[in-house]
Amino acid sequence: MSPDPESVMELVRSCLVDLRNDLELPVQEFFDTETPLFGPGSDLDSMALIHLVADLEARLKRKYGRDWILADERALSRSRSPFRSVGELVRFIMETMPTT
Amino acid sequence: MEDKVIIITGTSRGIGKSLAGHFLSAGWTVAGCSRGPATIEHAAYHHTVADVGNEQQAAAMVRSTAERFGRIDALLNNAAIASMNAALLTPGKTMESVYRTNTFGAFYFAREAAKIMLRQHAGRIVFFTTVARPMELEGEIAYASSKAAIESITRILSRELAADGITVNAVGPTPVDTDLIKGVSRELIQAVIDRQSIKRMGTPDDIANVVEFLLDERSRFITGQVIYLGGVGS
Repeated sequence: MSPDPESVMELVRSCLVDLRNDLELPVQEFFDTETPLFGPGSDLDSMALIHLVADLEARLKRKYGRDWILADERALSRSRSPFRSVGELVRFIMETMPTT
Repeated sequence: MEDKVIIITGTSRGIGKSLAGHFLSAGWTVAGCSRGPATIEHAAYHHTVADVGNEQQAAAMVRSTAERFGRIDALLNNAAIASMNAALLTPGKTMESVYRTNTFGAFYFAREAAKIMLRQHAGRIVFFTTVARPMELEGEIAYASSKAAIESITRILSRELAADGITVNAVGPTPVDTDLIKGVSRELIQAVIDRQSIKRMGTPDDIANVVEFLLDERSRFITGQVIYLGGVGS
């Protein structure tokens, strides 16, 4: 299966639901591309973000058979992080798609 | 009891091969890698041809191990290359290739294994440093300084991963009779041994003993430590 933004968005959504359950955070009723993920407006801390990334990489591998490395020097930047919103994360995943 | 799974890098020869044999004998499933084909034949040994300094290959090796066996209990970041030269005659290329394998490669494996261990809320990572680091040996600028970085990585990772039940420690062997030191003169090896409290070469068993101690379930309260062999102080 070839990754496309819609299916990646779905995968991000399911990771987030599971993460919030694991961390016993309030259920988030609504996700869209503007939903804050890390930084202002989000209740996830850096440890939660690390767990999310580890889980995402594993699920991306299972779904698409490719080894993503979701590491970025802007990860913890409040203004430029590719993890600052769901939409930015989907874009980052599409941009860093491994070739094989 | 469920088989424990360990990744050991650099298993084609030397200490890595010997550690692989040790843990295979103890009933572990061992996933090893080296740049060349396997030199170990055992039903519980699984080899990957990989360049540890290649980020993508390192990630793929760790993740396929986790996928295949469902877990990674321990990582031994053993793979390393050595270089002996006067600092002023050491080419940039040598510094790059030594750091690429010894430092960057070990970092990639630790980062990827830790992501698997996070999900398990348990795991043991052991790095390898050297007594050449605290001795600040002349002629070892590339090797010893690449291992100085490893010691810092060990301590920082131990802090970042402690809350998730992952311990991170390092072992610093003395010279051991392997290919890694085959180009080093007898006099220089003797000079190193003379600076140790216990004046002899190390053996693979000396190293296996410390590693086994760090992997022991009861060592769960030990992290961020660098243990040198032979009575060498930090």
